[in-house]
Amino acid sequence: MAKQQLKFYPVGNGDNTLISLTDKTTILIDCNIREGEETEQGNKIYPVKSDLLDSIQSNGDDNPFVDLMILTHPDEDHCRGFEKNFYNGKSPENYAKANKDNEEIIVNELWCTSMLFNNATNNDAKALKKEAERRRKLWEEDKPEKNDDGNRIRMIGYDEDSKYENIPSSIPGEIIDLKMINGNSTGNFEMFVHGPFKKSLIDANAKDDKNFSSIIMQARFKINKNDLNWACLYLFGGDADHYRWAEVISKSKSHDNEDKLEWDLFLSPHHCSWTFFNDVPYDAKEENKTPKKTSLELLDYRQGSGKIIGSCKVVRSTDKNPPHPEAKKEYQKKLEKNSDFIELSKEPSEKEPKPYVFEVSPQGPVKKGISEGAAAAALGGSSSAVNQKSEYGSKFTY
Amino acid sequence: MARSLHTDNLIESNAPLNQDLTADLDLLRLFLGKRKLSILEKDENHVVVPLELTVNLPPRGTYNSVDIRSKENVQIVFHKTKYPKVAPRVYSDRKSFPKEGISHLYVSGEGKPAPFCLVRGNYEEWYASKNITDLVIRTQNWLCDAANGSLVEDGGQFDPMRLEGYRGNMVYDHDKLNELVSNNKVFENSKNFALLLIRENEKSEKTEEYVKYPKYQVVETIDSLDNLKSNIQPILEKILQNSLGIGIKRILLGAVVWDDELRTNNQFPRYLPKNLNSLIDFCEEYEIDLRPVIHILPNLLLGGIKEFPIIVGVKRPKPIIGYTGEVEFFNFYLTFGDNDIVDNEIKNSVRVGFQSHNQPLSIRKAKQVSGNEKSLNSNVIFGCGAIGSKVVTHLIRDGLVDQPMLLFDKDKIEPHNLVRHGLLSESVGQNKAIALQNAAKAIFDSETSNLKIIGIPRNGDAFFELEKYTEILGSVNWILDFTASTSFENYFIKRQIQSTNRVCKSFITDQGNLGVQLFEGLERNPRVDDLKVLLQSEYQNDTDISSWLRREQKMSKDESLLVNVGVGCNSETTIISDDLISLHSSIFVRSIKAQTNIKPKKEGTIRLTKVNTSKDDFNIRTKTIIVNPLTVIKDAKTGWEIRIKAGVEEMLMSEMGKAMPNETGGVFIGMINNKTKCIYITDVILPPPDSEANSGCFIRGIEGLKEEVDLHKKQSGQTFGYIGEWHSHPHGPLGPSNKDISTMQRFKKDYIKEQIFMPVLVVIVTPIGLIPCLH
Repeated sequence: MAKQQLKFYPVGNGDNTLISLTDKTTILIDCNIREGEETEQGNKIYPVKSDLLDSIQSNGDDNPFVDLMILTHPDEDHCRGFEKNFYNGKSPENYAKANKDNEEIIVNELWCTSMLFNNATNNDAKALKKEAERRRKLWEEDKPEKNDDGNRIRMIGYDEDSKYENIPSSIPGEIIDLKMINGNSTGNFEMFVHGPFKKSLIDANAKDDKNFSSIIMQARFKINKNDLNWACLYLFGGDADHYRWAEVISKSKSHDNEDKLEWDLFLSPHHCSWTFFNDVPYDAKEENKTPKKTSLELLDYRQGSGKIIGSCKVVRSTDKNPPHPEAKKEYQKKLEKNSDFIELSKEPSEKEPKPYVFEVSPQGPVKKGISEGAAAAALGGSSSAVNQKSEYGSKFTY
Repeated sequence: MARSLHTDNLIESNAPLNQDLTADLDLLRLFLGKRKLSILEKDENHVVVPLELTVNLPPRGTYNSVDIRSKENVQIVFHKTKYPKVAPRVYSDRKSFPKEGISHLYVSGEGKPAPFCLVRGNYEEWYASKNITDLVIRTQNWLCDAANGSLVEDGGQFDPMRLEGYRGNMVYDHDKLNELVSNNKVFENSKNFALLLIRENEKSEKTEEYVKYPKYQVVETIDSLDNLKSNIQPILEKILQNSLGIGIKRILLGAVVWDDELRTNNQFPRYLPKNLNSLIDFCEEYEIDLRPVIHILPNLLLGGIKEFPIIVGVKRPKPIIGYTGEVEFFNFYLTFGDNDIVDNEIKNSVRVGFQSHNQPLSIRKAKQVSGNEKSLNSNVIFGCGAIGSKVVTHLIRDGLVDQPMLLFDKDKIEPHNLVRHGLLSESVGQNKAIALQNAAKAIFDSETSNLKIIGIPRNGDAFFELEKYTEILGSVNWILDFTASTSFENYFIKRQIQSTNRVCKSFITDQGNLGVQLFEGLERNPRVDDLKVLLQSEYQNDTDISSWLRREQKMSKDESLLVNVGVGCNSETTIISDDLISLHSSIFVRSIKAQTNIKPKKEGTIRLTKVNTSKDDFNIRTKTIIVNPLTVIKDAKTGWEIRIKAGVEEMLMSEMGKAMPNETGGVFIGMINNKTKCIYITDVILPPPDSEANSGCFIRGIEGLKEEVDLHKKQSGQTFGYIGEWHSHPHGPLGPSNKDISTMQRFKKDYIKEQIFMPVLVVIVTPIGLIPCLH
C-alpha cells in the first residue's frame, strides 16, 4: 500500500499542493502553473503539469483527473494555469479529443467559497467561476448528473446569499471525510473546516479583498482507520491574515477544538508574508513590527519537530512583502532548527527547485527519501546529450 | 565518544576484485562524493565497505523509541568474485544497533551484525534490475522507515520475523492454530500446549535431501485423549490399507505451545535455537514454559519415529501480515538419536531444526491470488471434455467453487484424452465430470465441505429430465454448453428454461483455428441455433467465414444440409494441439466473465477468435457480432418454426409498399434444419427482371436467379441457398389464394420427384404482417 503523501510544488509566490491518499485519491489545493522554462533570474521553472499528470489517476476513458480541487481563494497566484491545464466550462461528457491531446485534468469535485462567484478578476479565476457556475446550476435545476465525477461542487463557508442555498456546503467547525468526497471509506483521512467565517466572507466581498476569505483547514491523516492518533496534521489557510487566524484560535478554543490547531506541517500564510504576524507595511508603524500574540500562539501548536513550508520566492532582505525576511525569522524562532523552515524555492537548489514531498509515517510526516532507479536505462529528450550537437570526424574543422 | 563498530578491527583489503565489482565500487564512490572508499577484508570470499548514512528521523521521535540515529553506520558485504550474481548484503555496523524492536531483520547470532531484510520477495532478482546506488538509497530509506515505524506498521498488521536457513516446511492453516491458541484449548488440562497430528508430505522413499528438509502437514489438532484416539484409529486403518500399495505417508505427533497467559509480545528473536536447551531458552524469552510438553514427549514418539515437531505461538499486538490472527508461529522440530531417550526421559540437548510455514490453499486465498474474479454465481456446465475441463479448471483455480456448479458428462477419461484434457493421468478411468469434482476437492482439501461443485456422470439431457435438477433451474445463472454436440444442441434448443438463465454455447471449429461463442439474447431469442446460422450467414460480408464454410464443405464427406460445425475433441481422429484448445478455453472463460459483468441484453452476441497460423505469419484476431432478436413464426399445423433474421420483415413490407398497387415477390435465401424443424431465413432475393405483376397477380421470373442462388451456395460452402418464396398481397387476402396453393402443390411434386425432403415454403406479405404457408 502506497504511503500518504503531501507534495509541495515550488511555484514561486503561490500555492500548489497535492495530497495523495492510500486509496490513490488525489486532492489538489490551489494551483500556480506558470508558463516557460526559466524565471527572470534564470532559475528553472519546475514542470508542474507533467508531474501532476504522473501523480494522479486516469478514469475509465484514460482521462486524467483529481478527485478534489480546493481553491482557497480566487487570487491569481492560487489558480494560475487553471484555464489551460484543467478541463473547464463544459460537462465531463463532452471531454473531446482536443481536451485529451491537451491533457486537460478533470476536477471531479471542486471546493470554493462564494468569493469565486463574486470576485473573479483574472482569467483563470473567471474560468473557474464559469466552471463553478455550471456545477451550481446542476444543483439549482436538480439535475441527476450533479453528483457525477467532474460535476460535483461544495461551498466552504456560508455568507447567507440564498443563491448558494441548494449547493452542498460545509461551514467552520465541520469535518469532511473522504467518503463525502468520493465515496471511499478508508477512514484514515479527513479535513476540519476552520474558515472562512461568515463575517470574513461578507467583509471580503464588501471590501474586495480575497485574502479575507481564504479557506482555512486542518487535513488529518492516520495510518490505519482504527489508530487512536493522527499520524500527520497539516494546517493551511491560503492567504489568511493574522485577524483570521486570531479568530480561528479563539473559535477553536471556545468550541473545544484546540486539537484542530495542532500541526506537523504548517503552510506559512500568504507566501511567508508579514500579514500573518501583524499589519503591513511592516515599516509603516512601529507597532506593526511586533508579532501578534495569537499568531505566535498558533505556532506553539507544533507537534514534535514540525515543519513550516514557505511556498514563496527565495526570501531576501531586499524584496517587498511577500515573502518577508522578518516573517521567516519569526517562524524559525518557533521551530526546533532553522532548517525546519522549508523554502520551496531553494529545495534542493535555487537553480533547479523540485517538489518537496512528505510521506506520512506512524511517527509523523517524513521527507521522502530518494527514489531508486533501475539497471535498465535510456535517456529522455530533455537530457543534455540529446540537446547538444555532437561533432565527429577525423579531419574536423570549424 | 566514537561508536563501536563491527568493522573496527578489519584491515584494508588488497584482494583482487572482479571487474564488475571494481567498476561498481567506483560508481558507489562517485555517488557518495568520496575521494576514496574504504574496502575491508572480511573473509576469503568477501570484502566489506563500511558507510555512514544520513537518516531522516521522524518529527515525533522514533517509533517505540527504537534507537535509530540520524547518522547510521552500515556495512555492505560484497562477494569478491561472484558479484553481482551474488548480490551484496547489508548489515548494521553499529554494535549497539537495536535488533529486538525492528522487523525486516534476519535473525543473527549474538554479537553478530544485524542483517537488513531490504526486499520482500527475491533479493537476488531485485538486485539484478538495480544499480549499486539503489542499494544505498534503499538502505537509507529502510533505516528511515525503521525509525518512523513504517516497517512494522503495515496496514494495521504485524510484520512477522524474517527467517533464513529453513529445514523443510510445515503446512497448516494459520487461522486454525491461531484459534486454538487464542482460546487456550490445551490438551487434557495440560498447562500450555495442544497436540498435533502430523503427516509427512512425501509419498515415495526418502532421499537424503528429504531427510534434511522434511515436509510436514498438520492434519488435525488434538486437545483430549479421546480426540487423540478417535483420530489415530482411522489413520491406522488407512495405513494398513495403504501398506498394500506404495504411497505410505508417515504419521507422527507434534505439539503447539504458547504462553498460557496469552501476553502480547512485540519483541523479535535475536537468534534461533539449534538444540533443545536453547529452544527452552528461546521459549522462556516469550514467557512460554516448554517443560510440560518435553516431559511427556518420550511417550508421543509413535512407532519409533525419531522426529517431533514443536510449533511455538507468540501473541503479537496486531494481526500477522497475510493472516487474520495475531499469533505468530515459529516452527521447530526435534530430531532424536538412538541414545537421546533413556527410561522415557530426554537425556541430551537434541538437535533442533526450524521450518518455514506454508498455508494450505483455501478458497478465499485462491480468490484473492487470482484477483477476486467475479463469480458466475451458480452454473450448469454441459461437456467436461477438452474445452469444458479447461474452463472448469480455470474456475476452480479462481476459487469460484463455493457457488453451485453442476457438471454433466457421461464419458470416462481414456488414456488418449490426456492429449487434450485439462486433467492428468491420475484421472484416467474416472468419469470426466466426477474427475473434475475430485480435482477441486484435492486442491481445496482443507475445506471440502464448502465446495459446491458436483460432477454428474450423465449427458446434459438428464438435467432437463430429472426432477431433482429441474427444480434448481430457477437458481441457475449460466447454462454453459461445451459439448460441440449437435445432437445435444438440437435437444437443448427446444427445452424450456427460466427467464433468469443465461445461455452460452462455446466450441471450436475450422481445425481449431476458429473459436466461436454464442450468447443467447433474452427469452431465448436469438437462440444458439439462430446465432450459429447467422454467424454462418456472414459469408457474404466476411471472407474468413466464407472460406471456413467452404473448407468445412470440402472436409465433410456427405453433403448434409448442415455444416459439421464444432469439432468433437473426444475423438482420436480429430487433430488439434492442446495449446489451441487451451487458448480458446481461456478466451471462452474471460469472455463469459466479461458477459457476467453486464446485464443480460435482448440481443444475442457472437464472439469469434480467429487464429491464423500460416507458414509465414501468426496472429489472433477477435470479432464481436451483435444479433438482434429474430422474427419467429410457428406453423401450428406442421410444427415447423420459421425464424427470420431481423430486418427481413421490414424489408418485405417496404417492398410491398413500393410496388403498390401491384403485387411483388421473390425468393428467400436461408437454410433448413430437418431435425429441429426450423427454417432460417437470412436473405431476400427481389423479383428477377422477367417477373410480371399486376394488382392481383405476381409471376416470379427466372432471369439471373439461378446464378444468384448458386453464388450463395458457393460462397457459403453449400450451406445457404434457396429455401422458399415470398409474394405480396397488398389488398389481401390474408392467406394463400387458390393459385398460390396450386403453385405450392406443383412445387411439392417436383421436390418429391427430385428427392428433396424439405417443405415447400411460401410467405405472403400482407398489410398485417407475414403469413407463412408450408406444404
